[in-house]
Amino acid sequence: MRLFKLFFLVLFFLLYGCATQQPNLPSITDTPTGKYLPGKIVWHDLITHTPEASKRFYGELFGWEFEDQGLDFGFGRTVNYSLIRHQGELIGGMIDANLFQRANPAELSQWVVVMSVADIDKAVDVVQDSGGKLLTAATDVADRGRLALVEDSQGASFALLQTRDGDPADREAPPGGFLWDEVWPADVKLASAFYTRLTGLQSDTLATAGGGEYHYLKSAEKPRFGLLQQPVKQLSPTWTSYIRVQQPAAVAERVAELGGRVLLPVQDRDAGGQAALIAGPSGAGIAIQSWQQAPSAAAK
Amino acid sequence: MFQLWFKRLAQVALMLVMISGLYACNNPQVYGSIGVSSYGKMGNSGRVSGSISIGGRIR
Repeated sequence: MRLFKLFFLVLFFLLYGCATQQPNLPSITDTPTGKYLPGKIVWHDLITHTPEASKRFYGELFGWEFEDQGLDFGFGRTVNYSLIRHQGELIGGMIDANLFQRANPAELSQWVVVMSVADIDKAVDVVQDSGGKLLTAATDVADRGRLALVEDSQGASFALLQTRDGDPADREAPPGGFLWDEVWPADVKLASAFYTRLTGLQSDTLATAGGGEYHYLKSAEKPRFGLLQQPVKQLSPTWTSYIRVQQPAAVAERVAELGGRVLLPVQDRDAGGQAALIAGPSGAGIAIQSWQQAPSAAAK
Repeated sequence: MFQLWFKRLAQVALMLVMISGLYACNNPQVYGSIGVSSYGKMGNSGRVSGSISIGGRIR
């Protein structure tokens, strides 16, 4: 009988420890600003089932460096999380999808954009009230702040983050850095209404050379992210990030040898420069774009 | 006798419930509930069709 009681006691403490254990994700910036920029994409996490191949791929293509963290989840369990740096700056993270214990971790591989919000509880309410879905409730991730995983009203998943010490300051993306983020919904106007309500940003459009309109959301006059009606037939609504490169053709040429795939070949952009859509070794899609910064243009 | 067996059964059942609760500890939080990605749904079916000529940073 005493043995039973002791066993129950041990189990209780194990369960309590499990329930209270939170991942301690490091801050997204080395230099906290104390300022919040709601609606800004402040971070990018790569979920990949091929972490080593992904490190080589992105390291060779864009010059990224990976710092393994080995986050402690309690009871001797660690999760392989890596910080990604480019030219010394923190730009994202990478998590091993094999640890999610799903039947096919390859299907989970994706880039997750992380959007800044001033109040994560209110933001989660807005997502749900606007037809979106909560995948993971707001979770305290220590130095990083509070993070929630959601889907917009058309099924594109992304994360919300209320940083603990403020968001990274706006700065111009160097070659190899994150240049732009874009959501690819089935209905741009619906998506614009969803994200305008969520972020408080202003919706705007820019006429394209072909007579169409490019939709984007901005804070004051600073563009934060774009909305483009599903440009790829085979893809359901999703977020896609753009990496700044100097010569898209030269980068695309190396994709296959590094284990990735070119999904859409290099093409001329209406607004100038070139772009291509590629996938890393895990299948996670990302775009590359050349970008000539105008002297008077504002930093992203 | 019946009460004793019932009590033991209840204890074992409770124990099993608590042990199964420990399974949740294996799930890394936050991204543990991520769904299949759009790119994952697409599979490895070669090149896709479409254009991003009007996408990307514009200003």
